[in-house]
Amino acid sequence: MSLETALRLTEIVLACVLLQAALEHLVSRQRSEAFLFLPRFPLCAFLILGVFPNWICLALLLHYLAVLHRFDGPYNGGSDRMALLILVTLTAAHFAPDWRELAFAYLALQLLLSYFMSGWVKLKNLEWQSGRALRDVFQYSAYPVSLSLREYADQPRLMTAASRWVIGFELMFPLVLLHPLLMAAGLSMALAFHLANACLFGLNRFVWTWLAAYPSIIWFQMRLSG
Amino acid sequence: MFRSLALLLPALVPSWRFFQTIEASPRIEFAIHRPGECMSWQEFQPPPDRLSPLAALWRLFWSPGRNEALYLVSCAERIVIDDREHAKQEILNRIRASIVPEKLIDVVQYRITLVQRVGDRLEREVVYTSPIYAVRGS
Repeated sequence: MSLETALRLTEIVLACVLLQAALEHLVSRQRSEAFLFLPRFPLCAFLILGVFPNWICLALLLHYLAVLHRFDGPYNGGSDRMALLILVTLTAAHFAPDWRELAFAYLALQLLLSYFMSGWVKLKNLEWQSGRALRDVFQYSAYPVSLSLREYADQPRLMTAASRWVIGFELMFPLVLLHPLLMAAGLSMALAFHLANACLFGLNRFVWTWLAAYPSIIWFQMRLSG
Repeated sequence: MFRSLALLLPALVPSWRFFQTIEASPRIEFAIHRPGECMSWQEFQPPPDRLSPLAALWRLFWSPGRNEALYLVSCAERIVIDDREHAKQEILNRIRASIVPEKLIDVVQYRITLVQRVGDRLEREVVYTSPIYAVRGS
């Protein structure tokens, strides 16, 4: 995958991600919130069409900062941070063409770290290793999308197995850089992981935002292997 | 300018420590007060008892209510950790928007309860109780 193709794919997927989030805000009972997201619609449409992508990325970045001010921080935690990071790297790639490989490589590295660091901090936590932490997530955290899911907390063996699978997957994710087949397997597992998180914990925006960053790591792996 | 930088920095240099530890989990509860009536606290935006696989799949594409609920959990955490006024107002605004007052004199109050595991038991502790506000107000 060429750098140009990867950049373009990232722009299109990210524009769809931002549009989806804007649509959700449009039905908010808070009218000021709905109005805040209106500028995203034409901006994302222009980005999908590839019209002045440099200025559109910059405008979307500034708009995102206004959104962060409105909510006094991220509205959706990690997915806001990843979307903002992608916008920053796209804007940097457009306005500093000599540095665009570096900018996009930084995005690929952060994507890799997003899995590896999450696995590393869990590995160091005995409660994650034993499955206790995941039981806590199901038992009393605010994340399960329905009360019936809390019953999973009563299945300690399943929780232990799932915890170890998550830790193992997150720690081994950097192996995707070694071979295209490992890349395909790793990204498929990552997507399945995000889909599970979306269905169990309602983290739907993470699925699409992380998907928008995948072209960067596919390009990066090809770039490393020459 | 400094505020913008402070908001941008965590995105530029993220820590990516998802679910590092499972902390006490906040619940937002509210009560409508009417003269002569006992108030009863009810959870704000509680999750449904069950969610069909089809509904869970649909939420991949359309989940404004769930994302708002997660945002309000963040707001509750900001109040518990930093006593942030903005977060207090956000929760109040969304509770107000969700209820239809029966009488103009209705007033509303909310509180934040932390749920955490102590040993093998779950314990709940009220850590913040808001002032009383008019249901309709600015």
